[in-house]
Amino acid sequence: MELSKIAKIINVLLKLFLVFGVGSMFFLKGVIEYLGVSNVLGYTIVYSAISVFCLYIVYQIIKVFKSIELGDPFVTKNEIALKKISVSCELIALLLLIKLIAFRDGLIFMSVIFMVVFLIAGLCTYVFSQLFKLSAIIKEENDMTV
Amino acid sequence: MIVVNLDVVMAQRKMSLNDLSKLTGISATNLSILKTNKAKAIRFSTLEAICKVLECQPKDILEYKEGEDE
Repeated sequence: MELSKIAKIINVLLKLFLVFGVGSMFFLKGVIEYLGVSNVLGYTIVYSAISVFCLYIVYQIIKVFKSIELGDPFVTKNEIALKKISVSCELIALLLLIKLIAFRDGLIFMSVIFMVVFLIAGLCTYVFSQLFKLSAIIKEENDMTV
Repeated sequence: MIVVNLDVVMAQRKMSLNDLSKLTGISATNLSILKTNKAKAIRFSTLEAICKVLECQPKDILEYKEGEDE
């Protein structure tokens, strides 16, 4: 299958995911209340912030895949998008750390795992953003070689 | 910096960009990049094709000018 077609399919799935994510944010407080945790407001604030960052990451990935679909992925725009994803991942890791310290809930192990995952994902995305930066420079040089 | 004097040689030979493009097989877009000094590098094959059609030497097309770096 062609790369652009795969990118198009992924983009459609991500857009559906984004819509579903935005929709499910309205039920976040209800779900937290249903789980019966003590600090409902605190959890709602932290998880709302995490959700916003996650949806922002999905939005940025959609932008990257759109450029892949159009056949021009090695551009500065994608480097910036990947940097934004990297920062968002690190902020999610930070929010999870704050949650861990502030609430001291029974889900310490899970929170630590998610925190490490987002920390590593953020660092990896930063490396990829630098690779895209390098690729954009090399592509420009190649385009300007007659 | 390296300056491309393609427009000068083309004017001397009274040759248009489209004619040079047809004779060399190099696209008009690439020749325009070369002519306007926007090119970052030039392949030997490109230089050879241009020199062959314009009946000139590489030194007629390329010139080094001091102190005019980008």
